[in-house]
Amino acid sequence: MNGLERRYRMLLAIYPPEYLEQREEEMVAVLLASAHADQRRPAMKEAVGLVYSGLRARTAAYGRAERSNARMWSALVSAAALSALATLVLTVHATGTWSTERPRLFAPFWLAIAALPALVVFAPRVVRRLGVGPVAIAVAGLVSGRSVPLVQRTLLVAVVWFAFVVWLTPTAARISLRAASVIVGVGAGLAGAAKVHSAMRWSGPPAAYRAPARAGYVLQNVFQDVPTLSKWIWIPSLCVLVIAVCTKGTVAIIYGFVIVPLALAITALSSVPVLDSSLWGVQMFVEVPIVSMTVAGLAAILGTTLTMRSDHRAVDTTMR
Amino acid sequence: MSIDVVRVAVLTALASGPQHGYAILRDMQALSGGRVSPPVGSLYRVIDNLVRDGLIEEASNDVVDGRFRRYYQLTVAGRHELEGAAATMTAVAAQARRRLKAKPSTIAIKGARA
Repeated sequence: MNGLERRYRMLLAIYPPEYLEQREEEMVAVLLASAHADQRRPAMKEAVGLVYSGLRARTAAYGRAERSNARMWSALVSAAALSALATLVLTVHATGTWSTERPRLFAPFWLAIAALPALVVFAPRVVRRLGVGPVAIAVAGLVSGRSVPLVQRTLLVAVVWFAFVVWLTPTAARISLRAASVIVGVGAGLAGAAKVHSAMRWSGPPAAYRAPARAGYVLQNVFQDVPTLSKWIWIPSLCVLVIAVCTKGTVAIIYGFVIVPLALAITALSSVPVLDSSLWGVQMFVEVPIVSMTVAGLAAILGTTLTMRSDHRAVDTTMR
Repeated sequence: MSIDVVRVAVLTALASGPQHGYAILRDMQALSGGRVSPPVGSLYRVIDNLVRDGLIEEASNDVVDGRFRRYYQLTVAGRHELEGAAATMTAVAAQARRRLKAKPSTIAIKGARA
Protein backbone atom coordinates (compact mmCIF):
# COMPACT_ATOMS: atom_id res chain seq x y z
CA MET A 1 0.00 0.00 0.00
CA ASN A 2 1.58 3.29 -1.07
CA GLY A 3 1.17 6.69 0.59
CA LEU A 4 -1.59 7.87 -1.70
CA GLU A 5 -3.69 4.78 -1.09
CA ARG A 6 -3.17 5.04 2.66
CA ARG A 7 -4.25 8.70 2.62
CA TYR A 8 -7.32 7.93 0.55
CA ARG A 9 -8.26 5.14 2.96
CA MET A 10 -7.90 7.57 5.87
CA LEU A 11 -10.30 9.96 4.14
CA LEU A 12 -12.68 7.10 3.42
CA ALA A 13 -12.87 6.41 7.17
CA ILE A 14 -15.32 9.32 7.31
CA TYR A 15 -17.87 6.99 5.70
CA PRO A 16 -19.85 4.71 8.05
CA PRO A 17 -18.25 1.24 8.45
CA GLU A 18 -21.20 -0.60 6.92
CA TYR A 19 -20.86 1.54 3.80
CA LEU A 20 -17.13 0.88 3.56
CA GLU A 21 -17.71 -2.83 3.87
CA GLN A 22 -19.55 -2.69 0.59
CA ARG A 23 -17.72 0.05 -1.31
CA GLU A 24 -14.22 0.70 0.06
CA GLU A 25 -12.16 -1.47 -2.33
CA GLU A 26 -14.13 -0.34 -5.33
CA MET A 27 -13.78 3.36 -4.48
CA VAL A 28 -10.06 3.05 -3.69
CA ALA A 29 -9.57 1.47 -7.12
CA VAL A 30 -11.39 4.35 -8.86
CA LEU A 31 -9.55 6.98 -6.80
CA LEU A 32 -6.16 5.49 -7.58
CA ALA A 33 -7.02 4.99 -11.25
CA SER A 34 -7.93 8.68 -11.58
CA ALA A 35 -4.69 9.81 -9.89
CA HIS A 36 -1.54 10.83 -11.80
CA ALA A 37 1.29 8.32 -11.93
CA ASP A 38 3.52 10.28 -9.52
CA GLN A 39 0.74 11.65 -7.32
CA ARG A 40 1.40 11.26 -3.60
CA ARG A 41 -1.33 13.32 -1.97
CA PRO A 42 -5.08 13.18 -2.54
CA ALA A 43 -6.34 15.81 -4.98
CA MET A 44 -8.17 18.66 -3.24
CA LYS A 45 -11.29 18.02 -5.32
CA GLU A 46 -11.38 14.34 -4.32
CA ALA A 47 -10.64 15.06 -0.66
CA VAL A 48 -13.46 17.60 -0.39
CA GLY A 49 -15.78 15.25 -2.28
CA LEU A 50 -14.99 12.34 0.06
CA VAL A 51 -15.47 14.41 3.23
CA TYR A 52 -18.77 15.81 1.98
CA SER A 53 -20.12 12.51 0.65
CA GLY A 54 -18.86 10.69 3.75
CA LEU A 55 -20.76 13.05 6.04
CA ARG A 56 -23.81 12.68 3.82
CA ALA A 57 -23.54 8.90 4.12
CA ARG A 58 -23.19 9.25 7.91
CA THR A 59 -26.44 11.18 8.08
CA ALA A 60 -28.21 8.95 5.56
CA ALA A 61 -30.10 7.36 8.47
CA TYR A 62 -32.08 10.57 8.76
CA GLY A 63 -35.08 11.26 6.57
CA ARG A 64 -35.14 14.29 4.30
CA ALA A 65 -36.96 16.58 6.74
CA GLU A 66 -34.97 15.18 9.66
CA ARG A 67 -31.73 15.88 7.86
CA SER A 68 -32.60 19.51 7.22
CA ASN A 69 -33.56 19.80 10.88
CA ALA A 70 -30.41 18.11 12.06
CA ARG A 71 -28.43 20.47 9.87
CA MET A 72 -30.16 23.51 11.30
CA TRP A 73 -29.87 22.45 14.91
CA SER A 74 -26.21 21.70 14.38
CA ALA A 75 -25.71 25.08 12.74
CA LEU A 76 -27.43 26.66 15.72
CA VAL A 77 -25.24 25.11 18.36
CA SER A 78 -22.13 25.41 16.20
CA ALA A 79 -22.73 29.14 15.90
CA ALA A 80 -23.06 29.39 19.66
CA ALA A 81 -20.00 27.24 20.24
CA LEU A 82 -17.88 29.21 17.79
CA SER A 83 -18.89 32.56 19.26
CA ALA A 84 -18.23 31.25 22.76
CA LEU A 85 -14.84 29.96 21.67
CA ALA A 86 -13.98 33.31 20.04
CA THR A 87 -15.07 35.13 23.17
CA LEU A 88 -13.00 32.84 25.37
CA VAL A 89 -9.90 33.46 23.26
CA LEU A 90 -10.52 37.22 23.31
CA THR A 91 -11.13 37.17 27.06
CA VAL A 92 -7.90 35.37 27.73
CA HIS A 93 -6.17 37.78 25.34
CA ALA A 94 -7.71 40.84 27.04
CA THR A 95 -7.11 39.73 30.62
CA GLY A 96 -3.85 37.99 29.76
CA THR A 97 -4.66 35.13 32.08
CA TRP A 98 -6.75 32.05 32.63
CA SER A 99 -6.84 32.72 36.31
CA THR A 100 -10.08 34.73 36.30
CA GLU A 101 -12.53 32.20 37.47
CA ARG A 102 -15.49 32.79 35.18
CA PRO A 103 -13.93 32.36 31.74
CA ARG A 104 -12.66 29.00 32.92
CA LEU A 105 -16.16 28.05 33.92
CA PHE A 106 -17.28 28.81 30.38
CA ALA A 107 -14.87 26.33 28.85
CA PRO A 108 -17.20 23.35 29.27
CA PHE A 109 -19.92 25.42 27.62
CA TRP A 110 -18.44 25.45 24.15
CA LEU A 111 -16.75 22.10 24.54
CA ALA A 112 -19.95 20.31 25.37
CA ILE A 113 -22.11 22.33 23.02
CA ALA A 114 -19.90 21.28 20.13
CA ALA A 115 -20.98 17.73 20.96
CA LEU A 116 -24.30 18.08 19.16
CA PRO A 117 -23.00 18.35 15.58
CA ALA A 118 -20.68 15.47 16.37
CA LEU A 119 -23.58 13.43 17.77
CA VAL A 120 -25.72 14.22 14.74
CA VAL A 121 -23.04 13.02 12.36
CA PHE A 122 -21.54 10.09 14.22
CA ALA A 123 -24.45 8.72 16.23
CA PRO A 124 -27.38 9.17 13.84
CA ARG A 125 -29.31 6.23 15.28
CA VAL A 126 -29.19 7.52 18.86
CA VAL A 127 -30.06 11.06 17.86
CA ARG A 128 -32.81 9.82 15.60
CA ARG A 129 -34.37 7.72 18.31
CA LEU A 130 -34.31 10.56 20.82
CA GLY A 131 -35.10 13.33 18.34
CA VAL A 132 -32.71 16.10 17.32
CA GLY A 133 -34.63 18.78 19.22
CA PRO A 134 -34.55 17.05 22.64
CA VAL A 135 -30.86 16.21 22.19
CA ALA A 136 -30.17 19.88 21.40
CA ILE A 137 -32.11 20.90 24.49
CA ALA A 138 -30.29 18.36 26.62
CA VAL A 139 -26.94 19.63 25.37
CA ALA A 140 -27.96 23.26 25.89
CA GLY A 141 -29.36 22.56 29.35
CA LEU A 142 -26.46 20.37 30.41
CA VAL A 143 -23.75 22.79 29.38
CA SER A 144 -25.48 25.97 30.42
CA GLY A 145 -26.01 24.44 33.84
CA ARG A 146 -22.45 25.20 34.81
CA SER A 147 -21.72 28.39 32.99
CA VAL A 148 -24.78 30.55 32.46
CA PRO A 149 -26.73 32.21 35.28
CA LEU A 150 -30.11 30.79 36.17
CA VAL A 151 -32.25 33.38 34.38
CA GLN A 152 -30.39 33.13 31.09
CA ARG A 153 -30.23 29.36 31.40
CA THR A 154 -33.98 29.16 31.82
CA LEU A 155 -34.59 31.45 28.86
CA LEU A 156 -32.04 29.66 26.71
CA VAL A 157 -33.64 26.31 27.34
CA ALA A 158 -37.10 27.85 26.96
CA VAL A 159 -36.28 29.33 23.56
CA VAL A 160 -34.67 26.10 22.38
CA TRP A 161 -37.60 24.11 23.73
CA PHE A 162 -40.06 26.46 22.08
CA ALA A 163 -38.29 26.15 18.74
CA PHE A 164 -38.55 22.40 19.19
CA VAL A 165 -42.28 22.57 19.84
CA VAL A 166 -42.72 24.55 16.64
CA TRP A 167 -40.51 22.08 14.81
CA LEU A 168 -42.52 19.15 16.14
CA THR A 169 -45.89 20.63 15.25
CA PRO A 170 -45.27 23.09 12.46
CA THR A 171 -48.91 23.47 11.55
CA ALA A 172 -50.27 23.46 15.07
CA ALA A 173 -50.39 27.21 15.49
CA ARG A 174 -52.72 26.67 18.42
CA ILE A 175 -50.06 24.80 20.40
CA SER A 176 -47.36 27.28 19.40
CA LEU A 177 -49.58 30.11 20.51
CA ARG A 178 -50.16 28.50 23.89
CA ALA A 179 -46.46 27.75 24.36
CA ALA A 180 -45.59 31.30 23.28
CA SER A 181 -47.89 32.88 25.82
CA VAL A 182 -46.42 30.69 28.55
CA ILE A 183 -42.89 31.64 27.55
CA VAL A 184 -43.67 35.34 27.18
CA GLY A 185 -45.38 35.18 30.57
CA VAL A 186 -42.43 33.44 32.20
CA GLY A 187 -40.00 35.81 30.46
CA ALA A 188 -41.93 38.88 31.57
CA GLY A 189 -42.15 37.52 35.11
CA LEU A 190 -38.42 36.86 35.22
CA ALA A 191 -37.74 40.28 33.72
CA GLY A 192 -39.90 41.92 36.34
CA ALA A 193 -38.23 39.98 39.14
CA ALA A 194 -34.77 40.85 37.82
CA LYS A 195 -35.67 44.54 37.58
CA VAL A 196 -37.08 44.63 41.11
CA HIS A 197 -34.01 42.80 42.37
CA SER A 198 -31.57 45.22 40.73
CA ALA A 199 -33.66 48.24 41.77
CA MET A 200 -33.50 47.08 45.38
CA ARG A 201 -29.74 46.71 45.17
CA TRP A 202 -29.16 50.06 43.46
CA SER A 203 -28.89 52.78 46.06
CA GLY A 204 -29.00 55.61 43.52
CA PRO A 205 -26.36 58.28 43.01
CA PRO A 206 -24.33 59.23 46.08
CA ALA A 207 -26.01 62.03 48.05
CA ALA A 208 -22.96 64.25 47.76
CA TYR A 209 -23.33 64.49 43.93
CA ARG A 210 -24.67 67.76 42.54
CA ALA A 211 -27.56 67.80 40.06
CA PRO A 212 -25.64 67.39 36.73
CA ALA A 213 -23.52 64.60 38.18
CA ARG A 214 -26.61 62.95 39.56
CA ALA A 215 -28.27 63.08 36.12
CA GLY A 216 -25.17 61.61 34.49
CA TYR A 217 -25.00 58.88 37.10
CA VAL A 218 -28.64 57.92 36.59
CA LEU A 219 -28.18 58.03 32.81
CA GLN A 220 -25.16 55.78 33.04
CA ASN A 221 -27.06 53.34 35.18
CA VAL A 222 -29.91 53.25 32.68
CA PHE A 223 -27.53 52.89 29.74
CA GLN A 224 -25.75 50.02 31.41
CA ASP A 225 -29.09 48.32 31.65
CA VAL A 226 -29.83 48.62 27.92
CA PRO A 227 -28.41 45.21 26.96
CA THR A 228 -30.49 43.61 29.66
CA LEU A 229 -33.56 45.60 28.68
CA SER A 230 -33.25 44.79 24.99
CA LYS A 231 -32.99 41.13 25.90
CA TRP A 232 -36.38 41.32 27.46
CA ILE A 233 -37.63 42.82 24.21
CA TRP A 234 -36.20 40.35 21.77
CA ILE A 235 -36.99 37.16 23.57
CA PRO A 236 -40.75 37.80 23.61
CA SER A 237 -40.35 39.21 20.09
CA LEU A 238 -38.82 35.94 19.00
CA CYS A 239 -41.88 34.14 20.25
CA VAL A 240 -44.11 36.58 18.41
CA LEU A 241 -42.16 36.04 15.22
CA VAL A 242 -42.61 32.30 15.55
CA ILE A 243 -46.33 32.75 16.06
CA ALA A 244 -46.33 35.07 13.04
CA VAL A 245 -44.69 32.46 10.87
CA CYS A 246 -47.04 29.76 12.12
CA THR A 247 -50.24 31.74 11.81
CA LYS A 248 -49.11 33.91 8.88
CA GLY A 249 -50.45 36.99 10.65
CA THR A 250 -49.26 40.03 8.70
CA VAL A 251 -49.16 42.43 11.64
CA ALA A 252 -47.26 39.93 13.73
CA ILE A 253 -44.78 39.31 10.90
CA ILE A 254 -44.06 43.03 10.56
CA TYR A 255 -43.68 43.26 14.33
CA GLY A 256 -41.34 40.31 14.40
CA PHE A 257 -39.24 41.45 11.46
CA VAL A 258 -38.90 45.03 12.74
CA ILE A 259 -38.66 44.55 16.48
CA VAL A 260 -36.39 41.51 16.57
CA PRO A 261 -33.61 42.95 14.36
CA LEU A 262 -33.96 46.28 16.16
CA ALA A 263 -33.59 44.63 19.55
CA LEU A 264 -30.65 42.59 18.29
CA ALA A 265 -28.99 45.74 16.96
CA ILE A 266 -29.53 47.49 20.30
CA THR A 267 -28.05 44.50 22.10
CA ALA A 268 -25.00 44.50 19.85
CA LEU A 269 -24.46 48.27 19.91
CA SER A 270 -25.02 48.67 23.62
CA SER A 271 -22.50 45.93 24.32
CA VAL A 272 -19.77 48.11 22.81
CA PRO A 273 -19.25 50.36 25.88
CA VAL A 274 -18.49 47.22 27.85
CA LEU A 275 -15.66 46.34 25.48
CA ASP A 276 -12.85 48.27 27.17
CA SER A 277 -13.68 46.92 30.60
CA SER A 278 -11.52 44.01 31.62
CA LEU A 279 -14.64 41.99 32.25
CA TRP A 280 -16.23 42.56 28.86
CA GLY A 281 -15.48 39.01 27.86
CA VAL A 282 -17.57 37.71 30.70
CA GLN A 283 -20.45 39.95 29.65
CA MET A 284 -20.09 38.93 26.04
CA PHE A 285 -19.95 35.32 27.04
CA VAL A 286 -23.52 35.50 28.12
CA GLU A 287 -24.67 37.84 25.35
CA VAL A 288 -22.93 36.49 22.27
CA PRO A 289 -23.91 32.82 22.49
CA ILE A 290 -27.49 33.71 23.31
CA VAL A 291 -27.70 36.30 20.55
CA SER A 292 -26.09 34.06 17.97
CA MET A 293 -28.21 31.13 19.08
CA THR A 294 -31.25 33.30 18.65
CA VAL A 295 -30.21 34.42 15.19
CA ALA A 296 -29.47 30.85 14.18
CA GLY A 297 -32.66 29.75 15.91
CA LEU A 298 -34.67 32.24 13.92
CA ALA A 299 -33.12 30.97 10.72
CA ALA A 300 -33.80 27.41 11.84
CA ILE A 301 -37.40 28.10 12.72
CA LEU A 302 -38.02 30.06 9.52
CA GLY A 303 -36.25 27.49 7.41
CA THR A 304 -38.00 24.59 9.09
CA THR A 305 -41.37 26.19 8.71
CA LEU A 306 -40.79 27.07 5.08
CA THR A 307 -39.09 23.87 3.95
CA MET A 308 -41.36 21.53 5.86
CA ARG A 309 -44.53 22.98 4.39
CA SER A 310 -44.83 20.08 1.98
CA ASP A 311 -44.29 17.54 4.77
CA HIS A 312 -47.06 18.89 6.98
CA ARG A 313 -49.78 16.84 5.42
CA ALA A 314 -47.85 13.63 5.91
CA VAL A 315 -47.14 14.49 9.55
CA ASP A 316 -50.77 15.37 10.18
CA THR A 317 -52.08 12.17 8.65
CA THR A 318 -49.79 10.01 10.74
CA MET A 319 -50.67 11.90 13.88
CA ARG A 320 -54.37 11.51 13.27
CA MET B 1 -39.14 16.93 -13.85
CA SER B 2 -35.68 17.96 -12.75
CA ILE B 3 -32.53 16.83 -14.54
CA ASP B 4 -29.33 16.11 -12.71
CA VAL B 5 -26.53 16.18 -15.26
CA VAL B 6 -24.27 13.75 -13.37
CA ARG B 7 -27.17 11.32 -12.98
CA VAL B 8 -28.00 11.46 -16.68
CA ALA B 9 -24.32 11.15 -17.56
CA VAL B 10 -24.02 7.95 -15.50
CA LEU B 11 -27.10 6.53 -17.20
CA THR B 12 -25.69 7.54 -20.60
CA ALA B 13 -22.34 5.91 -19.80
CA LEU B 14 -24.17 2.66 -19.02
CA ALA B 15 -26.49 2.85 -22.05
CA SER B 16 -24.06 0.97 -24.28
CA GLY B 17 -23.44 -1.84 -21.79
CA PRO B 18 -22.19 -2.71 -18.28
CA GLN B 19 -19.21 -0.70 -17.00
CA HIS B 20 -17.22 -0.38 -13.77
CA GLY B 21 -16.77 2.81 -11.70
CA TYR B 22 -13.63 4.17 -13.31
CA ALA B 23 -14.88 3.40 -16.84
CA ILE B 24 -18.11 5.28 -16.03
CA LEU B 25 -16.08 8.26 -14.84
CA ARG B 26 -13.89 8.30 -17.96
CA ASP B 27 -16.89 7.86 -20.23
CA MET B 28 -18.71 10.77 -18.55
CA GLN B 29 -15.70 13.01 -19.03
CA ALA B 30 -15.35 11.98 -22.67
CA LEU B 31 -19.00 12.34 -23.63
CA SER B 32 -19.29 15.79 -22.01
CA GLY B 33 -16.04 17.15 -23.39
CA GLY B 34 -14.60 17.21 -19.85
CA ARG B 35 -17.47 19.35 -18.50
CA VAL B 36 -18.90 16.59 -16.30
CA SER B 37 -16.15 15.33 -14.01
CA PRO B 38 -17.46 14.83 -10.48
CA PRO B 39 -15.25 13.79 -7.57
CA VAL B 40 -15.35 10.05 -6.85
CA GLY B 41 -17.37 10.64 -3.66
CA SER B 42 -20.10 12.39 -5.63
CA LEU B 43 -20.03 9.76 -8.36
CA TYR B 44 -20.73 7.03 -5.82
CA ARG B 45 -23.45 9.09 -4.18
CA VAL B 46 -25.18 9.24 -7.58
CA ILE B 47 -24.55 5.51 -8.17
CA ASP B 48 -26.02 4.68 -4.73
CA ASN B 49 -29.12 6.74 -5.49
CA LEU B 50 -29.54 5.17 -8.92
CA VAL B 51 -29.24 1.66 -7.42
CA ARG B 52 -31.72 2.62 -4.69
CA ASP B 53 -34.17 3.97 -7.28
CA GLY B 54 -33.84 0.77 -9.31
CA LEU B 55 -32.48 2.56 -12.40
CA ILE B 56 -29.17 0.68 -12.44
CA GLU B 57 -28.07 -2.61 -10.88
CA GLU B 58 -24.88 -4.46 -10.11
CA ALA B 59 -23.96 -6.79 -12.97
CA SER B 60 -20.78 -8.60 -11.93
CA ASN B 61 -17.50 -8.34 -10.02
CA ASP B 62 -13.95 -8.65 -11.22
CA VAL B 63 -10.40 -8.25 -9.93
CA VAL B 64 -7.94 -6.59 -12.32
CA ASP B 65 -4.30 -5.98 -11.25
CA GLY B 66 -5.29 -6.75 -7.66
CA ARG B 67 -7.98 -4.08 -7.72
CA PHE B 68 -11.65 -4.80 -7.13
CA ARG B 69 -14.12 -3.80 -9.83
CA ARG B 70 -17.89 -3.82 -9.71
CA TYR B 71 -19.82 -3.53 -12.95
CA TYR B 72 -23.14 -1.76 -13.22
CA GLN B 73 -25.84 -1.99 -15.88
CA LEU B 74 -29.04 -0.15 -16.77
CA THR B 75 -32.36 -1.65 -15.73
CA VAL B 76 -35.51 -1.34 -17.84
CA ALA B 77 -36.64 1.54 -15.61
CA GLY B 78 -33.25 3.20 -16.09
CA ARG B 79 -33.58 2.94 -19.85
CA HIS B 80 -37.00 4.65 -19.69
CA GLU B 81 -35.61 7.34 -17.39
CA LEU B 82 -32.76 8.05 -19.79
CA GLU B 83 -35.12 8.22 -22.77
CA GLY B 84 -37.28 10.78 -20.94
CA ALA B 85 -34.29 12.84 -19.84
CA ALA B 86 -32.82 12.80 -23.36
CA ALA B 87 -36.13 13.97 -24.85
CA THR B 88 -36.36 16.83 -22.33
CA MET B 89 -32.76 17.88 -22.85
CA THR B 90 -33.12 17.77 -26.65
CA ALA B 91 -36.23 19.96 -26.51
CA VAL B 92 -34.65 22.47 -24.12
CA ALA B 93 -31.36 22.53 -26.00
CA ALA B 94 -33.14 23.16 -29.32
CA GLN B 95 -35.03 26.08 -27.79
CA ALA B 96 -31.85 27.43 -26.21
CA ARG B 97 -30.03 27.36 -29.55
CA ARG B 98 -32.95 29.02 -31.35
CA ARG B 99 -33.23 31.81 -28.77
CA LEU B 100 -29.52 32.43 -28.58
CA LYS B 101 -29.48 32.79 -32.36
CA ALA B 102 -32.48 35.17 -32.31
CA LYS B 103 -30.84 37.73 -30.01
CA PRO B 104 -27.13 37.73 -30.64
CA SER B 105 -26.65 41.42 -29.72
CA THR B 106 -28.03 40.98 -26.19
CA ILE B 107 -25.69 38.10 -25.58
CA ALA B 108 -22.71 40.12 -26.79
CA ILE B 109 -23.51 42.94 -24.38
CA LYS B 110 -24.68 41.01 -21.34
CA GLY B 111 -22.32 38.09 -21.60
CA ALA B 112 -19.39 40.44 -21.02
CA ARG B 113 -16.90 37.76 -20.12
CA ALA B 114 -14.11 38.97 -22.38
